[in-house]
Amino acid sequence: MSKYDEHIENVDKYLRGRQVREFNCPPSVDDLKKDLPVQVGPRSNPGIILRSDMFAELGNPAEGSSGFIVWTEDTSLVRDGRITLIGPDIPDLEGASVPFGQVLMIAGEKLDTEVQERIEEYQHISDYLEGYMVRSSSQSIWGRVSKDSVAKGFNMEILGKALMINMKSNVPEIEAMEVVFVTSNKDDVKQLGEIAVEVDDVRKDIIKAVWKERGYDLDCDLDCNSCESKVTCDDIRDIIRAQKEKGTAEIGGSEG
Amino acid sequence: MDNTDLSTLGRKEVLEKSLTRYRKERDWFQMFLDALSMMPELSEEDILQQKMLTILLESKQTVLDCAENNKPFIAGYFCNAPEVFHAMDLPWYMLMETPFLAASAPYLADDIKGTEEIGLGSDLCTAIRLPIYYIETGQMPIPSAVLGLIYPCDGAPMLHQVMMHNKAWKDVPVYAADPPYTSDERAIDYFADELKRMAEFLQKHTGHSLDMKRLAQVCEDGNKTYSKWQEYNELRRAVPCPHGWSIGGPQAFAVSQCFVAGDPKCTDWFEQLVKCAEIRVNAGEGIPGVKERIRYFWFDIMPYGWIFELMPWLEEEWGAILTMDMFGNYPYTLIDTSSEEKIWKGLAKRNLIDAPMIRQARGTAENFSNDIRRIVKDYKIDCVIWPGHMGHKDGSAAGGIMRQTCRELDVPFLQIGLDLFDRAYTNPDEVKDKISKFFTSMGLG
Repeated sequence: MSKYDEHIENVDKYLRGRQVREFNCPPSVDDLKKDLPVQVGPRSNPGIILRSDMFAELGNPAEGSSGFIVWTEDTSLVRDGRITLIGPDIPDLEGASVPFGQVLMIAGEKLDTEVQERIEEYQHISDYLEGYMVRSSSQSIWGRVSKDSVAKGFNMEILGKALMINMKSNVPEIEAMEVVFVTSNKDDVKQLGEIAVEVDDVRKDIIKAVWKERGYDLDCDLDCNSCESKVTCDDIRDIIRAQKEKGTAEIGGSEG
Repeated sequence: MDNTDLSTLGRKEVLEKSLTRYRKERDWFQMFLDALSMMPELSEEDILQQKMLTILLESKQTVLDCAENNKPFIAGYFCNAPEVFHAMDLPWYMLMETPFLAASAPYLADDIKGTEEIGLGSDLCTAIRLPIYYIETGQMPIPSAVLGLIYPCDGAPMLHQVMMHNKAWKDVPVYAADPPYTSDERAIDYFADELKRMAEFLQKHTGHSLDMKRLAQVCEDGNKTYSKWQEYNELRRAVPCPHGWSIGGPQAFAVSQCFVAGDPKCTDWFEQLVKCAEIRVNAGEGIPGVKERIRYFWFDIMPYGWIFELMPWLEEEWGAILTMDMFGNYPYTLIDTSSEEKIWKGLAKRNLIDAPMIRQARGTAENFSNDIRRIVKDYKIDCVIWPGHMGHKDGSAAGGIMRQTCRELDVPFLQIGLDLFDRAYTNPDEVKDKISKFFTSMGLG
C-alpha cells in the first residue's frame, strides 16, 4: 500500500455526492496535445498577465485556495485521463475571482519516494500554458487566465490537459493521471484543504526521508545533552534567571 | 572608536548621546526627501522614493519624539509581529537597524573596528556585533522595553547579555518569545500564545493597551499591503525584470515589516510600486540603461555594508539582474481576521515560519531546497548565489542541500564566503572576481 492511498480514497469520498462535470482525455501525451486551442509547452506563456488583461482569477487569498498532489504505485486507484470539475468553468467566470482547488493524482508502478520533489515541480504550471499564470506562493494556487486565451477556447479541460502533458512528459514513471478542480465555493475548497493538511504531513516525512538517504538531515535530532550549543543555552538560562531575580525579564516559553 | 566614558555622564547627557546617531540618520534621509521635493517634476519612480522616505522618516521622527519627551517606545525585530506594536500605537525601532541602512555606510568601517577594540569576536555576525557596540558606546536610543530574539541564530541572544550588563540598559524590561523548532499546528498554537504574552508584557511596561478590534483592522490593512506585494512580485517574473536589487529586500520588506506594519501608507507605497513596474512591463522595458543578460537569485540579505560597490556593478558589467532575493521573496499567508484566535495564529505563522531568514535559519532545512525550486522556476533564474555570510552558519550547514537542489534543477550555484556588512572580510574586488569567474565558467556571461 502506498503512503497516499488513504488520501486518494479521501478525495474519492469528497467527490461523492457533489455535482461534478467530468472530462475524459486520451492517455498519451501526443493525443493530449492534439487540437489544443492554446500553446502548451515550455515558454508558452513567457509574459505575465496583468489585471487589465485578466479574464478570471482563481484562488485569490481572499477567496481561498488549496492544492496538492498525491501518488501511488497502484494504477487501479487512478482513472487515467479523467478531469473532474466541481463548480463553474472558466468561460462562465468573466471578471470573477473564485476560490480554487486543484488535486493531482498520479499512479505508476515505478513511482517511489524519490519522485516526490520532482512531481511537485510540475504541479504548478509555470510558463507552460499560454494565457495562464500561476501566481507565486508556496502554499496556495493563485491563477490568472487571460482574456485572449479564453477567446481562443481556454477552459478547465485545457488546463487539466496541460497539467497532464507537463507531468507525463517530465516524469516518465507516470502511467496514469487524474485531475480534480474546484471552483464552486469557499466551503468546498476548505474541505479539500482538510485533506491537504494530512497530505502535507505525509509529504514532509517523505522529503525528510529522501534527504536522509542522500546524507542530509533536515531535522536536527539532537537532545540537549548531546548538542554542542548547550553552553550557549546554559548561558541564556543564567541570564533569564538573573533577570528574573531582578524582576526585569519576562522570557516566554519553556526554560527547560 | 567612540571612547566616551559613559559612567561619567549624567542622565540627560546619556540620552543626548544615545540619540545623536539616530538624528544623523534621520537627517541623512531627510536630505534625500528634500532633494526630491526640489525637483520640478517627479517621475513615478521618484514618487515611489518620496513615499518610502516619508514612511521611514515618520517612523524615525516618532521614535525621536518619544525618546526626547519621555514617552514609551520599544526596540524589537521585524519577526516580533510588528502589527501588534502598530495596533498598540507603540513606536518602535529595530535593534539591528543601523547595519541595514545605507545611511550607516560612511561610518560602518570605523564602527566595525570599534567592535574589535571592545573585544567582540570577529566570528560573531557583524549585524549583531554592531548593535552590541552601539549599546556599549551609548549610541542607540534607550527604549521603554525590549523585545528580544532567541532565534533564528544563537548569536542574537548575545545582545541580551550585553543589555543585562550595560548601565543604561540593564533596567529595561525584556521579553523574548520562545520559538518551537517544529512548524506544525502545535508549534503555531504555542507561538501564538507566546505572542499573546508579548502583548501583555508590552501593555504592562508601556501602558499602551491592545484593542483586538484595532489589531484586526491593522491585520486587514496589512493583508492589503501583502496582497500588493505579491502582485508586484508577479511583475518581477517578466523578462526583462522591471526592477533590480534595490526594491525587494531594501524596500518591499522594510515597508511591510520594519516601520508601521499594517498601515494604509504601506499599501499606498506598494500600489505605487505596482504602478511603476506595470509601466515598464507594459513597455517591455527593464532597468533603464541595463541590458538584462543574467537573472540571478541572491539567497540572503543584501551586502548592505558595501552594497553600492557590488550590486550596480553586477548590472552594468554583466547585465546581471537580481531578480529575487531572500527578503524580497513572498512566502506569506494573509491573516484570517474572523476571530481573535485566528489573528494570533496568523501572526504566529507569519513570524515563526514565513519571515525571511527566520524561515530558512530556524528551519526546517527543507525550506532552503523548496524556496530554490520554486523561485528558480517562477522567475526564470539563471543562477543561484548563496553569499555565505560569515554569520549565517546555519545556512552554511545547508550548503550541500542547496547545491544538490541546484544540480537537480540544472541551474549553476555559487557559494562565495563573505561578510555582508564588513568589506574587509572578503573585499568587494575579490567578490567581483569570484562572481566573474563563475559567470564565465558557467557560460552565462
